Amino acid sequence: MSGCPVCIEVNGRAVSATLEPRTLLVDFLREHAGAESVRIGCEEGACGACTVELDGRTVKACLVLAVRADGGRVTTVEGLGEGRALDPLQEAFIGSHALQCGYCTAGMVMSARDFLARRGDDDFDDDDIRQALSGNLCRCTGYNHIIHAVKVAAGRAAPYTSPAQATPDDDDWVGKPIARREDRRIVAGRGRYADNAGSGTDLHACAARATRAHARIVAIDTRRAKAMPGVHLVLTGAEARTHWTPISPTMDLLDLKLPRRYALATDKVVFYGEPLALVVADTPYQAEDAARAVEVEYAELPPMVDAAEAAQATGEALLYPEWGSNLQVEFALDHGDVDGAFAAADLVVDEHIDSHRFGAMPLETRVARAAWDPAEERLTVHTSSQVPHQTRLYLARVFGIPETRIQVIAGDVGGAFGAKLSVDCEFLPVLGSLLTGRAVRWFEPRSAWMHAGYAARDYRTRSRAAFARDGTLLAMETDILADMGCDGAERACGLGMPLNGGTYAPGPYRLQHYRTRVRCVVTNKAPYNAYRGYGKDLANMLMERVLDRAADRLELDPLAIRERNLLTGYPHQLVTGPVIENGSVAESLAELARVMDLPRLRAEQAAALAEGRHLGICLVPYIEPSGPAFPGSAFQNYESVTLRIAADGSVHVLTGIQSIGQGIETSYAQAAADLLGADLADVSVSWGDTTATPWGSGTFGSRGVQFAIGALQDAAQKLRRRLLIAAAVLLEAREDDIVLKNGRARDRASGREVGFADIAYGVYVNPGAEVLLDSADAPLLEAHGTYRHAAVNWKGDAEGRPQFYPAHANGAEGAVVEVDIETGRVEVNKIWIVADHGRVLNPLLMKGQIRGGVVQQLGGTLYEHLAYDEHGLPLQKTLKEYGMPTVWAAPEIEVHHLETRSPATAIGAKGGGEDGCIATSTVLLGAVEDALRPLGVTVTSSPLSPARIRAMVEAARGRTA
Amino acid sequence: MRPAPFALHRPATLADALAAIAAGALPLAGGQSLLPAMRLRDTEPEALVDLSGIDALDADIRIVDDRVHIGARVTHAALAADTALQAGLPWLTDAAAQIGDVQVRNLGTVLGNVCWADPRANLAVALLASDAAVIAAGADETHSAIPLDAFFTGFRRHALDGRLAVALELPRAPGARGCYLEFSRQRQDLALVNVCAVTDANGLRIAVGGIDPTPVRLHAVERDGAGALETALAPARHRPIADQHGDAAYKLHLADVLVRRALTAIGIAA
Repeated sequence: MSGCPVCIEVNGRAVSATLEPRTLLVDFLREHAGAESVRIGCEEGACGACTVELDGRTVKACLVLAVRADGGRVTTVEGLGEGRALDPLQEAFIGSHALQCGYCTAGMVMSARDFLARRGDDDFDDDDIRQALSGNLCRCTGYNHIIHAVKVAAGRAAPYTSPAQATPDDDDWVGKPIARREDRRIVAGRGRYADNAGSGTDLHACAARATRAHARIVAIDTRRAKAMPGVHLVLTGAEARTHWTPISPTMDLLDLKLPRRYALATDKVVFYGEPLALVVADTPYQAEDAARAVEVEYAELPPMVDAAEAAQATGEALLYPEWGSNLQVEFALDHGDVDGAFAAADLVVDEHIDSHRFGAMPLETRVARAAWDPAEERLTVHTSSQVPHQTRLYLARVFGIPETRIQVIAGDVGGAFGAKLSVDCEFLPVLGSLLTGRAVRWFEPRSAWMHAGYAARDYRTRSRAAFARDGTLLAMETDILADMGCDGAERACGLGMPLNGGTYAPGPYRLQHYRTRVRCVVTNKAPYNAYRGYGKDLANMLMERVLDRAADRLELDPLAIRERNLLTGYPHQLVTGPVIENGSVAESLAELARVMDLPRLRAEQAAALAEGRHLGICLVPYIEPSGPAFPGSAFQNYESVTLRIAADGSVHVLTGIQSIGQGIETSYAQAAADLLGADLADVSVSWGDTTATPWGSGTFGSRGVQFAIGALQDAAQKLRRRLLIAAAVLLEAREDDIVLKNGRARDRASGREVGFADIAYGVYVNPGAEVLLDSADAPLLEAHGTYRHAAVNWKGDAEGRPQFYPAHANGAEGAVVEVDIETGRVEVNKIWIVADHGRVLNPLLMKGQIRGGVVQQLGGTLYEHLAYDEHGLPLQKTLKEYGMPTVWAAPEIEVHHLETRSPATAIGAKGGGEDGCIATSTVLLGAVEDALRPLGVTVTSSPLSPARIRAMVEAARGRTA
Repeated sequence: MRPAPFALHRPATLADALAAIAAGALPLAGGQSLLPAMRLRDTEPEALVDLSGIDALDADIRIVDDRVHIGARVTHAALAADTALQAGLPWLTDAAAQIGDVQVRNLGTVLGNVCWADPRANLAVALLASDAAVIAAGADETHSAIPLDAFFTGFRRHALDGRLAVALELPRAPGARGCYLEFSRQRQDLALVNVCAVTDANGLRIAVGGIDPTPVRLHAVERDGAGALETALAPARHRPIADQHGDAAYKLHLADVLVRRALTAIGIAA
């Protein structure tokens, strides 16, 4: 089959290879031409991450056979710009903060470039840009900043960033919209994603996967697969058992149950797509061929597809018979006199609110390259992870290799959002490498993620709430049933989301009587993992929809009923335990109403209705608990930073927090520069390598601005002290008179200065630390800083209530939608957010986080769906079927900030990575209901798909007819 | 995933292409529908015949004596940008402009879109309403015209039967008005239902995609007007694609809404 000679000019260089006819251009470019900017995010040509120019036209390199490009000319993003200078369009992407994880960026730039070239000097509007970029998906930015970047490149808009220049003594680097440092490599196509690790001699892994949702494995025949060309290894789950232990659990808290599964199923399968056998071959093509040749005989077991049914199931319908039920955990809280308050109520509302199943869906699927060196007995794993240190821990446990012999490297991560906090399939290439002694790469196909990747949301709830006639909320009771799929704690960690939903449902309201029951039930679906929002979305939904319903029934203004019940002072302890340390919930909601110009919107709504158009408006407040520390998990109340000043005065921050597109290389440098008095240009930040960085819990729950900055502050205080001692010697000054700023130590008394470079050379070389740091605590310019948040409390307060989230940002979100009642289509016209994250490290990055989160949750609410049939077979295997939001889905998102500083750190920032995912579903359900209020429609579940909206309209008409 | 292995024929002549097809090879034009299906391993052809090297297949859009010729290598991008078609048959260029995205339109061909024969394919529906015919070359290199009314034989099945589609031909009736509309979850997504209505001196033609295994004409509505829509779209008469994005009733309802909107757009009472 092999043997087509191909020669393609790639970025001006002729590249020749002999290829199988089936070789895709994307593989040729990546493996033969070194064009590693060209990325794979899907299989159906939806994502556009592989967009290149071929003979003057943009194409998707994954939908072109390389042999058909023979003799052609390809330009990738690596071929843009002159020498080391970037193209103005690439500069515009940086200046507009048009990228976060950067996985889509190279393709996006190629499409934008094509658009600008074709437009020339012609006029264009935002929809023309959308038309040009609709073949390129971005999961991070919410597209707003990308559209802006195109306008900047065309000279029609100004960039958002301000230049990073030295600041006066009374000014700070923190708080400035400084362009990201990570962007320069990413826009140039040199992002360090896990799939760029490796060499041409690597082997490739592929999993043979279950084609049943629930079945016993009767027999697996691997003979045909083993005989196929290029195959090095085919191993079933039963055969693999002696080489590893079950998956090391991500969470093991409360009294939850663990499935104790291996990374390859051994005796039964519990979800469609579960890995059954590992195949290792010379090429990914051959590995896929052989994986499909693995023959499996199943004995069907009853598939559990419905969580309510699964909760009652017995016998063969139990996923894990040893549990005795399908309940992974049941959790209950009961505070105050709930029944008494209900008995005294004027109004009781009783609402069922449900969410469908959707999830993180990063553009980069799961990736790992494992290289076991048998001679050195060392394992090096490149993987896409939010938690490289925990990954090393899990690898050590599962394979029995000392942690000191394992290096995990997580470079740039192509999107995570909670879905890269655990390890399951990543064990497979490691096993492959251990058994073959060769480096083995594994890149998860999108369809495999779609079937076996992580889901979230998917809850059914009932909320009862008691109100007085004036709208005062007297008591509330919530009952949450969440569908974990096959597992929410071991190979994934989504189980905490419904628990958070139950715990935080009282939200920012004065509620003293509250009861909740949360049941997490396993079914025969893919695992349930953390997803941005982590149950704070559910909490928000339960309370806010109940308040809207009560407002309707009591004929109160929706804002008025909230104002009546919002907390009035801080700190405020929720009846369930969490303490909201400070904030501005009421002010955020009031400010939101002001910036939205609510009276104007209501007038527009009335005018539209007179024309038969249905506009809807909704505003809700939210709180954003951040920085979680969970017992019985690797998500601890601890972080550390190593801070080092080199002999040339440059400052190096090493952190165990992982970069997943949130911009820590920039924002932590800003913080370090301020805390140390360094020049921003001299500070660099390293992460993602377990050998180079100190232990860290990684990135989740918007914890970095508390935990990493707290650790940085601790380290910086140690180094500041030593810098002052050394500078005092050099300047013959008093330490108290020395100011550290912009990389210089200045003696206020004499006005004399010395730079960090001179101090550092002085310490390291001449006259040496014995002279300059003789009176210091340690004779070096390197310090380890640690942080433990004082507000975390696992022991519980007097009533036994623990505190897992030490900080609480807050805000308010509003939306205007239009619903076409004939087709059922919902168009989101605009979203507004007023957010309070204390002191914001970099307001541009913060806006990017918020806008991106909004579009993620908007996509989930309107389009995305992980649906299953009655046999537990997934109904989608492509991004289009799933419903990933495109550039057309992204409305304008206006963001405003309030500032209530966190008392926890000197900088005063609170976590802010999840805003957009917390209240967006709530406001969209509320706004659609508001739009359809004239028809008598109530909206209590998602997705808000056209077919479902139409059904709601029809049902309401049926009731009124 | 990646495609299963296949043999690739790269003929220079129609005769060689037809010989390969006779031996079971599948024609590969722009590949923008076929390659995704092969990557997902939904289809695993043993051989493909690459049409890109056949000189006899042209990339021309010609209007001669009120007949429009669209060559086999005309891409969606080329069709959408053709100024003569924009002026005379704008519903066709609208339909082409809403296919996929820029990258897909740059490679995907009009004839490939028709021969993919998905009932929701934009151009299948728009061309069916435009009274188009596929020009097919047979084994003896004789050319025959297959009207689109007879071309679609099932879900992604067509009447070529070993012949190779080499062009499309359709009338350009003076004074024709037409409207192509599609409903997809997000703009430019695969249509759930799409509709094209064209009226000219020969009468009204309405084509609908997504409500049957093939694109269909609504002859009763063409004859009797919108009043016949309810009967024409009766559930018993159609087999809509029912999926997680909408059941059969919803698809038929969408067809009703879109047909009315298209008729209104071309000035016919709906």
